[in-house]
Amino acid sequence: MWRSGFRAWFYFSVAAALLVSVSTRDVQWLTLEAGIIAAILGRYPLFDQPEEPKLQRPLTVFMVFPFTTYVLLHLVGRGDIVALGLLRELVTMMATLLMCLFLIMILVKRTSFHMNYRFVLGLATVAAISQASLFAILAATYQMMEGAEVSNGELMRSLVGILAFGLLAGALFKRDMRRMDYQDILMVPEEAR
Amino acid sequence: MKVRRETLSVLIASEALLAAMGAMAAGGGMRYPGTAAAMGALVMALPYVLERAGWVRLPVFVQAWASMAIGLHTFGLVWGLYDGTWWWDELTHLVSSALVGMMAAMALHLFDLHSLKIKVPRWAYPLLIVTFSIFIGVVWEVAEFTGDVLAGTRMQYSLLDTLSDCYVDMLGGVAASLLWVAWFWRDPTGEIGEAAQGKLISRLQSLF
Repeated sequence: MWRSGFRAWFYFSVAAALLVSVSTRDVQWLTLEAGIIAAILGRYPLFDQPEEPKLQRPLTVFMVFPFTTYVLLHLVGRGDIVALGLLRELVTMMATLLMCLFLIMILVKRTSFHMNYRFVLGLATVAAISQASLFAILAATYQMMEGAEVSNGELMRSLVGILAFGLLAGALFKRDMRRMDYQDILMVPEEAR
Repeated sequence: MKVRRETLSVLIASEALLAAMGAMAAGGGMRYPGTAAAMGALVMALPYVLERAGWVRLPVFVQAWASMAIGLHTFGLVWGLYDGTWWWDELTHLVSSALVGMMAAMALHLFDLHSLKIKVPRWAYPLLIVTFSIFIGVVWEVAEFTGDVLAGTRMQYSLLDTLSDCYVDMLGGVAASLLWVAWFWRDPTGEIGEAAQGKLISRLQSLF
């Protein structure tokens, strides 16, 4: 029951977030949503993972929270409140981590790339921080080329936020993953050894 | 464990150079370049210590590259090239990020060789090296910013300087991945395959 409820909630929140991103021309979130949709289309078993049942519940909570919060923050619209700004940075990093995690898991499941979950989560955290930083760097470059006022302090505060919240998102996910055992969840097939 | 003659040569040469530059900085009352030289000397002792302890035998090329990266940085600080020569910062970032990329590629390769659960195909290396180079570049910029705010080190000059540093770091990652795919992967001297020593191999196998 909880599974079908979460499934509907997840699809609804991603669809609503997509509408918000299109209407606000938020390229970073559009990329994240495109990545998640690619993961769904890539037939990664988001909700039915018989070989990884213990991953199911934490992953599902992680899936619905960032997209729902992103839409709610847009509806509230108070970007001037510091706490809400920080929450937005956190959910951006959670969604980025989720997308990187899914894409890495697809690679692990469908190619000769093999890793255990400890390594997958570490790599996904690094990839999420790199991807979000790349967006921040590109955005600052674009603004500078357009002649807008951007200071080095602003860019650096943004990068500090990305680094801190990226690590926090990884730690939050790891907290849930700690309940799992790490025993060969992703087995390396004999021919890959 | 016995240390290779090449490792000892790189250690002596780099420590002598760094000591000379450190003495010059101290003589001129330059505190930050002096500290950087001392830190560099400590870092350059690591390959020797790790090889002696039986953990890892870093390829001589990587040791020489690390020596060049630290040497260029210290040289630039002592001679004030970061302030006077616009491309010096880009050069040191390029050399350092390529080194970081090479170290990341080597670490992945060692995981691939010695862990039963981690297998990294050749096509994945460029992707992972560039990702890691961007990450370390951001960590470095954040460290510089923190130093500027907390200790007034004045390492970041402007937005343009930070952005160009970040782009050069990415370029260094791309250069390292090209080097890896074109040359290192083949491991012509056999140094990379034999880099991990007994203690590291058992650690890798127990952790991953």
